[in-house]
Amino acid sequence: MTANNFGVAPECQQVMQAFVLLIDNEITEPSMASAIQTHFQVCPPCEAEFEHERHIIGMMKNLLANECCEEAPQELIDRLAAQTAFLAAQMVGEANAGVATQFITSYSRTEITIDGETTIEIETSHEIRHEF
Amino acid sequence: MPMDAELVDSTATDVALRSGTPAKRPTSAVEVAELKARFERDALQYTSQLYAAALRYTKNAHDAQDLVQDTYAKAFTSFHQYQDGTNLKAWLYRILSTTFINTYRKGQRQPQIASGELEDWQIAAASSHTSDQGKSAEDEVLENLPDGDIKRALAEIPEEFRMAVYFADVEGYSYKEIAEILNVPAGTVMSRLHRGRKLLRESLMEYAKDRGFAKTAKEKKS
Repeated sequence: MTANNFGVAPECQQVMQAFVLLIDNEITEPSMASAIQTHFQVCPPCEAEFEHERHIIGMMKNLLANECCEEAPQELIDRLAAQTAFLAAQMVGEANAGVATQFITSYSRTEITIDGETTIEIETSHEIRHEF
Repeated sequence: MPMDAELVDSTATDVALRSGTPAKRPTSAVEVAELKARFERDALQYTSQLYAAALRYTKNAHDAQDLVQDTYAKAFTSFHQYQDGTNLKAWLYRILSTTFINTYRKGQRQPQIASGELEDWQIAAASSHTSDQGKSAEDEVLENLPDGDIKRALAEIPEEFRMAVYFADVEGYSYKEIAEILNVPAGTVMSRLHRGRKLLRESLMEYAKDRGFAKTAKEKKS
């Protein structure tokens, strides 16, 4: 229970290992939660450590949420719309197996490099035929 | 190419079957149209979230777009097996993770961290109380963190840790949900999360030190 420069008491260590569960609300046993609270009452350094951990993880969550929230580019949205239409048409084709069907989708895009000097054009076409 | 019919492999089917719904493919054009409308309304609304998660996996926009497209292709062909009421976004994330591992990570060396993971993190857990000085230095670094630092730090930590942190701290999923998305036991999620956050914090402190921030913070105090 007493902290010093060379480490902490085994009880403290056990409690500290449970910090992650406490912070993430993953403690399912009420007895464990109350044991931790009891320990905090007699061990202010552990409680301070816990408050610090919770505070830092909370800050990191905010920072991450603010930065890791990229919007899908329009190109991707267009590609998904085309793909969904293609796969649905293919599925109809399978459902109607026996009837002659044909699906063609085409896809093209232009990429321009950042310096604006190079242009790459990509064209793809997919063709599925069912002929019986 | 993502539009290949071959893309539809067993991965998505496996995911769908786990949700416990019997497979029944649409049998008419009307049923397909209904499925497509439901998919566009319910599943495609998560495009940006999937894209952000894909960026954490691939670390570049081009591969992230392909990964999201592959994910949605698999999701569409299994969508008739998806059961209403279960978490659709988590279902999509699971397909995304499996697709990344099977397709994009293929051939890459995979870190062996599965065994002894739990013991490792217990040893790595704090063995001493942090000094007040240490606490306030970390506080100050995080409060003044320049834009981009945390994104860079997250990208630099190993994938297993990175994705556990992402799903927990950005998406807010529980250990159980993350375990299902990543297909690992919940105990593994806990240890990866713990280690991942620790690595992230260490990187952030390191960046700050490199820029002389910690020193400045100290000087301000004295």
